[in-house]
Amino acid sequence: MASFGNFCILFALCLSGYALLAALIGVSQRRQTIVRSAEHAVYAATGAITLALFSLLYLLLTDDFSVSHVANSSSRELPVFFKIAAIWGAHDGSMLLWVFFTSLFCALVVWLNRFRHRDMMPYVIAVLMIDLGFFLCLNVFISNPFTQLAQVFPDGSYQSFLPTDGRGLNPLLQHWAMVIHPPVLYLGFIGFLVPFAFAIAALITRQLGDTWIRTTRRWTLLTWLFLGIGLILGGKWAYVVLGWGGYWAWDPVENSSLMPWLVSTAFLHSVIVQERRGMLKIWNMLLVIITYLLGIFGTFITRSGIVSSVHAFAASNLGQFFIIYMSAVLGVSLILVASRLQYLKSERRLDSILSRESAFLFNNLILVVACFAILWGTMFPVLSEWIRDTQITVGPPFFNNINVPIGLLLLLLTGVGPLFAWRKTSLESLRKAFLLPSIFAVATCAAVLAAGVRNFSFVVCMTLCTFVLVTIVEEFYKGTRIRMSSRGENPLLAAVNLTLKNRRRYGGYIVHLSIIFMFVGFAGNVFNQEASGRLAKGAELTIKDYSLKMVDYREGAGSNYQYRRAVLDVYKDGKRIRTLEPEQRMFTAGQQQTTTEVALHSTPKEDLYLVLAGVSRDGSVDIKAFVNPLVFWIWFGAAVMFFGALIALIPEKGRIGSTQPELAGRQTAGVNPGV
Amino acid sequence: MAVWVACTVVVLVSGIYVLRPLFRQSAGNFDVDLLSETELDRLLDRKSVVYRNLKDLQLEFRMGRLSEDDFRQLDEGYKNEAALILQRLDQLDASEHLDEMIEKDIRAKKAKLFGTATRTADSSRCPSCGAPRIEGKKFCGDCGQRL
Amino acid sequence: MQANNNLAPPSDFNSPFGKAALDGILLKEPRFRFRHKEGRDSLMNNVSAKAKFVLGGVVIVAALGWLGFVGFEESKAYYITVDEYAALTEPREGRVFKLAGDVVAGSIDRSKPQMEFIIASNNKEILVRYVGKDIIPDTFRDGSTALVEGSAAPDGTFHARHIEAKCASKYEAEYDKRTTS
Repeated sequence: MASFGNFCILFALCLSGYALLAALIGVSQRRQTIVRSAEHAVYAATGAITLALFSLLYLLLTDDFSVSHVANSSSRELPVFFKIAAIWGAHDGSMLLWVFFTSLFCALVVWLNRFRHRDMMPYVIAVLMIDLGFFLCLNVFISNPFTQLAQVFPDGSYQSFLPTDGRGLNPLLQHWAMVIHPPVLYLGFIGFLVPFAFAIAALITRQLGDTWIRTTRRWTLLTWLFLGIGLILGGKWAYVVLGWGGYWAWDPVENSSLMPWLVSTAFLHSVIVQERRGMLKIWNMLLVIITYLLGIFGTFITRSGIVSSVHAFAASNLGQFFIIYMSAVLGVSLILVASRLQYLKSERRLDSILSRESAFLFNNLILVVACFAILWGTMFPVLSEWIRDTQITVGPPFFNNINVPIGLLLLLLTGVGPLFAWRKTSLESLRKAFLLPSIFAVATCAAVLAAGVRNFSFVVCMTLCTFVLVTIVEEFYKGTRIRMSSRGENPLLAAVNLTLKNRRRYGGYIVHLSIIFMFVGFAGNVFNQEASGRLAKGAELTIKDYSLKMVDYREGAGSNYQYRRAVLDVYKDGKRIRTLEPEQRMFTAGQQQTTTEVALHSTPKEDLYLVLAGVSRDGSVDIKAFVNPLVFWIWFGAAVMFFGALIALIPEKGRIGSTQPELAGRQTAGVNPGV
Repeated sequence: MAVWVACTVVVLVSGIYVLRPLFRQSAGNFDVDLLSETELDRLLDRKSVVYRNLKDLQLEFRMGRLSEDDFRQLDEGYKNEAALILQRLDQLDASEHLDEMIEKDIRAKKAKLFGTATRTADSSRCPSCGAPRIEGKKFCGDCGQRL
Repeated sequence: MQANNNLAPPSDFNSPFGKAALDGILLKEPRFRFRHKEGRDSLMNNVSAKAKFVLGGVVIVAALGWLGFVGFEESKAYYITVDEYAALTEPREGRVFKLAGDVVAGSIDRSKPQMEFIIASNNKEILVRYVGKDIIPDTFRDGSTALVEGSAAPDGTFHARHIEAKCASKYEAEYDKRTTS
């Protein structure tokens, strides 16, 4: 089975090479049949990679430890669910999963456009196949998941080697959030290939109108959503598995997935400006290219181990290939953009600083600055080593100092943006629009201050959150009122129809709403409290208004691990609310690593977060307790974001021009070219 | 042994599948430019954008986001743009000779390329791209082809 | 083909039906003139929107740059290995270091109020006292590679405020391909 899988990826590499050549020959000879053949090769490559993935799955499920990937990431007693997850439990397999997703995206793109964009598609296929081919090469020649273990003798001969059991899946990965986090994140990275391919094809064919933007906008949104959900799942995992009480540590690997997310957020906004106003064409092109490169760069950081990181995934020798590939992509893209500048001229100028365009521009500027700052901080150790021969690392204060104000500015723009009109807004209408949100915001600010909170960022964050919340509620309220009066619908129906008839707009508002929830959750960080203590049976630990009473200490065994568990009764204001059981797990297979199972009591107001840090010989336990206010709202916000993005993703029926707004009588009579 | 058989099967099946299009008897040439983004496409795209802008503007005005004055100015601008686009579309429409030729040409080429002569005759589909045709629509919702 | 001769290539931008023609139409959109109630020309009214945007952008970027610089100074740490640290000739005081080394097996002493352990690289060792508050990561144990962030103490030990530890390779165990166990 291993050799079959090996053959499949090699064959897929050949197919992708063929598809690349056939697409280019087809378009240069203008023979549609050759392009069709290239398309079929894309499907076939996808099929071959799927077969390879299933072979790997088969090897994992049948415990074939002669294969190094299986031996390294699985073991006999691993539950089946985690055996499946073991595909991406180690570097080689996760590269196969990566390639699998890439090929799925390629096949889907080709299939969806099989009757459309006939002139662009050969180039799209070519770009897709270059990317797929690159990763297939890595998979086949450098990190092949089907490599078999062998015993090497001094004379150079070797003989196959079969360990009795595998090393087991890394215990830290044996958690549901970690099982879905990598695939979702991969989808989020890989998806940016599609907009990039269309951008390059549009540049080559000089068809830089709205077409490529319209085709790729939805892809970008979908990918953005995957990446966002992947990030949040990673945070959730860090929160409940790593046991240090937080969800984000500005770790290089975390940063490298945040960066493309930020730039694609910028793109999703600025693309609206291009669609509506015909501006920012070069900028959008650059954003697409940068997003794609940052996706590759993220993989590079994760896989090459160039920046030391607690994630420390399989450092591998892939670095140089990534650098060559990324420089080539960047060089070719920039040359293409430069040679097509005449087609990317802006159709209009910025009319006024008080306009929606300008709000979008500031949003873009800030997002890109945030991305650059994170890139700078992440790569600084490498840069300083190049320049001064000492590695200088920067810590969370650097990232927080820049990103907290950036976050607050973005929040402000989220609220202010919709209040501006396109092109220009007069001061009177602004005054009118700002009135209600400002009143509420000031009231919140006063309330927060009155409650005794003196933390500047928290106060500003709450004030802005209220401002944005009121603007969004107003948008929904006013829109609903209009529908109710013009169509006579009841309030609920009107609100639903309003959202469904303006999916991008109102879906976007729902996403903005989710951002508010998340910011509330982030702001809670300011009030984190922690306490720790060594508790004998019956002893108590007090944190904030909770008191924890150690009731029992137990040891036992789970399916593939042994656990030590402290049982604690939680009292709040003297009333017993529940029992929490923080746990340590010692996994038996492989590295015998210990992991922490956090015990959580989560309420919208705050999380009580307990970690069993250690056990002493007399049976008393070291407990570390955190109270993290408002964390709940981050996960809640993520759910809302998912919902909002889904609404924006559903295609609106038909061309919008088919429902003509009030334009009667103007079609010919109103022409006044002199204006 | 089984592995070799499996590999051979994979190669044969995908080989036939991939190479088959090359041996279609109607291996005709095609003019890439013909199927590319035409002015019509661009106009229709632009039209839909302007319409959406107008729709949005009207919504925003009714929400009280804009003063009467702002609204009138912006509305005027968009409507002029829309009118110019429509005028342009009418001009294209008027040059029926050109239109007919494009259609004929496309139909002929499509038939040659995909061997789908029967489908082009199918009035429920767009002759250019094959997308389902919506009753009463003048243009195809997918590719902008005049129906 | 005769039909082709009569057809202007539609995607040609110079054709009468091309993009240039459309642009010509669209660009005729009027520019707004601001009519402020006061009607007076203040300085800002004469400045184009673009210039204002650039100005705003520069202010924002400069402010963020300054904040970043402050944060950078506050959190920068010299990332060196234990032997490099031992060989350091410059004064160590007032600098934050991030030392990389392996935890010497058996050296972890948790009995003291502050945990002590020895990390080593290239046969140079240093005694580290953990003065931080965070939980010591699960991966920190005998033989693991540790990163300790802190500064030199007067008594010659190293006071670590933060510990990161990683297994040689967290996601992969040590079966080397094509070698024996």
